[in-house]
Amino acid sequence: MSSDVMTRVVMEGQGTFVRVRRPAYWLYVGLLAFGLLYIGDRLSGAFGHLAGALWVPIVLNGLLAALFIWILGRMDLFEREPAAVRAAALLWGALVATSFAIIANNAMVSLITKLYGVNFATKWGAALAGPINEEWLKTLGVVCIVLIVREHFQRSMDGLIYGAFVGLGFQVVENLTYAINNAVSNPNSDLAGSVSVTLLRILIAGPWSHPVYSGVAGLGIAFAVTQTGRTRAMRYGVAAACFLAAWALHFLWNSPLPAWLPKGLAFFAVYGKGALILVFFFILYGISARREWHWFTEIMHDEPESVITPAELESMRTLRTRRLARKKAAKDYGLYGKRIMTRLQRAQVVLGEAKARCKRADGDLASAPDVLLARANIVGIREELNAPGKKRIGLKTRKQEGEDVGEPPAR
Amino acid sequence: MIEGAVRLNRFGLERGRFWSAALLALAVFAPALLWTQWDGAVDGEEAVPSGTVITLEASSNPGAVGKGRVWFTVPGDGWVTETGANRQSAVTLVHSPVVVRTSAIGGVDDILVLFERQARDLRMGNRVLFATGSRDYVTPTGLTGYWGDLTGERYSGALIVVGRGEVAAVIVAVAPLGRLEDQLGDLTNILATLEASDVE
Repeated sequence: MSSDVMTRVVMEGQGTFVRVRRPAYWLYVGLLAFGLLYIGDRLSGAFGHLAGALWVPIVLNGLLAALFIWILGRMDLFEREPAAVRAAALLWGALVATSFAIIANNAMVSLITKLYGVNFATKWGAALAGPINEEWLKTLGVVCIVLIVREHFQRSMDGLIYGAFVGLGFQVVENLTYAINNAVSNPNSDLAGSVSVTLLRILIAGPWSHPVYSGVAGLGIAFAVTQTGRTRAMRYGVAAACFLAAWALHFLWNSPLPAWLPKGLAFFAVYGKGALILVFFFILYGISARREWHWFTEIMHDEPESVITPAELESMRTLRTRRLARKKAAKDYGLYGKRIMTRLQRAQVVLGEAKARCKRADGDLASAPDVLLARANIVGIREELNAPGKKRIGLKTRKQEGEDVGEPPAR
Repeated sequence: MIEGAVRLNRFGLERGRFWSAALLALAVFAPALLWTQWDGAVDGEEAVPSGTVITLEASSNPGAVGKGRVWFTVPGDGWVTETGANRQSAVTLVHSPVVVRTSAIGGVDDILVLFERQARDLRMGNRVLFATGSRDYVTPTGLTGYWGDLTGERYSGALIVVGRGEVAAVIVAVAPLGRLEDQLGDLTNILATLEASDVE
């Protein structure tokens, strides 16, 4: 029997992340189930005894997660990654990477202790085990998502965002396990142990922890899979370099301060390490964001001024320039104008995405329904903005505007 | 929602995508497999000669930052240690069938609270042990604290929490049911040399 006879072809419609025909999807589901059981087993026992001491860490880590989700949602200026895929990345970090990292880290620290003694393991155990195992496992989360939904990776920035979500999930669960461990090991009180370590981890390591490292590694993975016009050596070289950079950043953070450093300088040294990590990350982000901008100008350059004017195109460059454009609209047209400008900017991003999708599918830009719809939407919004009398509305106070909306028309 | 045609293999999965998933699975399991197997292959058991003085640095928990040291002398021959499980603040010594884990803890406000918390941890542990018959205890070296008898389904032992200032030593001795009494001399010999200091 030839292999052709065995081949079946099906037409299927699926959601943004569920791909029941892809083996990697089932691998993801299986690993997630394992992680859920493993982490659930570790946390549920502790919750039974320490529930009173854990609500503060849970709330604080929830706030940390919400803040990061808000920031990450704004970092990709020209595309909003699907919520389902972001959630999948977060869950990989929270359940899969953490559970395998706990097993690997414990064994590795035990091995280091056996081979090099307690003092060396105390000093370097976390600096070695953390980056080696954790960065590897988190980066595989991005690889897994690529294997499941490659279509959601258009440019390097997508990998950075998904990587950061993997890192965020990891950081939150890691913080909770630290809270539990310290609640148990504190000699005086569960609450003192869990809260003190949570505050320490959020205030000192919060801004430059796992989301940053994994974002860097994820950027490399996305570069490798999206920059198909470049040589393989270049693509995989960048991916490897980004992974090594993520490893090095993590190692830098976990490594002990030199013994000769005066105690008074330790605080500055710790924050100095953090600042270095953040600077590196933002340089990479800046490069990536610039490439995103070039992509956007390229895909929108042939649009007429009724869709996007040169000034509007320039104003789409950064969050700051977009905010300035909205402020200007507010100045010219009042709050109404600001709202319309916000809608216009969103609609222009949607058009860019629709055109990119159409190009990838070798479709006809002149007849693709979603491109036509996005374009018509922009024209409609612009007509609203330029409609006669808007200046007059713009001069009204918010209260007057509200009254206009709230009152029924006079008969 | 996306729609598209996919070619399936005999298992109903997309063709040409199996091996990448298999490699990914291997890569996910690799660190855990590598380190656990390597750790298992390295013999971590080390004999501790009689008279060896073991010094432990009190752990500095973020919520209890006190520091200090705890030290004791290994009594007699036949003691070994599982090096992989040792930390700067804790050591596990085995004199078959007795296992003695000694930890140094800093920043202790109240020895009784610490004793009760340690007893709770033993109840929560994998090998459930209940501390009963707790009583005041003073080591021959003058450290004060509490002694509790440990009882479990298959194991028994003793929990001793003693200290000086803000530093405490926690000793958990465990042996199969009814076997600790025979080795009690070893434990009392350790306690006879146990010292603690909250001076760094």
